[in-house]
Amino acid sequence: MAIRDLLWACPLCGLEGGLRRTGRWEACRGCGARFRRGRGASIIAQAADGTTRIHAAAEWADRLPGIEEYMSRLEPRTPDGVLRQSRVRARVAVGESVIRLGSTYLNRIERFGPPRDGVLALYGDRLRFAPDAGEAEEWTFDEITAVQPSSSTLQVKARRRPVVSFRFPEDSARFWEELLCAVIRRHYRATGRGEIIEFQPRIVTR
Amino acid sequence: MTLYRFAQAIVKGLWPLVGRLEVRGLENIPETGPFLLVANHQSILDPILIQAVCPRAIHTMAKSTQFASPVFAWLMPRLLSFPVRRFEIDAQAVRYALRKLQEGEPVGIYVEGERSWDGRLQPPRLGAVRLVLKAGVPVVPVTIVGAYEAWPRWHRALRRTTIRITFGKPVSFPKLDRRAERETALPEAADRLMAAITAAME
Repeated sequence: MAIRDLLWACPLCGLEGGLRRTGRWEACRGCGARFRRGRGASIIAQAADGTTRIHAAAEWADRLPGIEEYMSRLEPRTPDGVLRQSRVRARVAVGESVIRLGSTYLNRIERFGPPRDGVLALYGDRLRFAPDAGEAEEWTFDEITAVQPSSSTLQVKARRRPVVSFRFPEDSARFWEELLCAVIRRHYRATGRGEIIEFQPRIVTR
Repeated sequence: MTLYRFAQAIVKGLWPLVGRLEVRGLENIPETGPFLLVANHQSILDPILIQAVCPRAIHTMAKSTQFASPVFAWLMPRLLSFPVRRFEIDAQAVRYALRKLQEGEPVGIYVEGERSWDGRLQPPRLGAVRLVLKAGVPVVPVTIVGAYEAWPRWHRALRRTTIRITFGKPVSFPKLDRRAERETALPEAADRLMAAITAAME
């Protein structure tokens, strides 16, 4: 959890994924502005020239483009069509545990395997995780059944495959969730599968 | 239940060291019988504080990952939380909630499904509204204000501030057994539910 989860781009210069933690502050690699939590849930921004501004978190978030506006100018960043990529720590569910209260069965929960670091890439029709060691995995949008944020992670569930959780040490989990949902929505429209009305607990179209 | 009441006493006793807590509308909580407590979700503090001040012990639906560590897998059920897997239709979580209601006990859910990133009220998760229509018990809307300022989702630290919890007057929703009926009633029920929560935000 970090200010960069809320502010996926610098609200002063617009650089995406530019905020990096430096002690008490998170600093923009583009313009050098620094951000930290102020009173309550306000955020203090100190520009490179020393000017200080304080706004509520929601006001700072409003300075970033909405996801639809962002999508309208989204272009592939690499020749093979990557729309966005980030370093992630991925964990795949490897089994289930039973939760009980005394003898009463409450439910099953997923049990995650060891973390694997690598790069998560978003394409127009799929997600691809390339670990630093081992084989890459892909999830096409046609097999993804749910997209679910959880704390500062993004969980993705695909048909007949275990749920996978991605943590973003250098990027915004919130923005990844919004962007992934928007790109899946666009894919569904383009392939005539209808308008998605919910992503959890499963993708449902109108 | 013993641990639940002990935790309630600890939170109520120690919270004044952390911040101010204003509680309104306790008279709106039914003294007996089942009800659904439906709240907004601003912070990790919400379930702790709502359960601490509510005189009835609430069975609260919580995301399954909160039960991941052995300590929490033991502790959470004793604080009357039960897990829900949010990335698939979790029939067992719904069954358990309905069973508790049938036994005459209250069940708590967070209608937005996750904490707000920017402090604003988010749209309701339709699964939560479906549960309301399936249960057909009174709904006590709960509005928590100030918890975001105390501990927003994007920060690690708790800050001293005033948090206000308002228990609204119970709202009735029809019990709709047929899925088609529930789906038809969904938009209006969602609007009523969110209006009831929003009413206490000012």
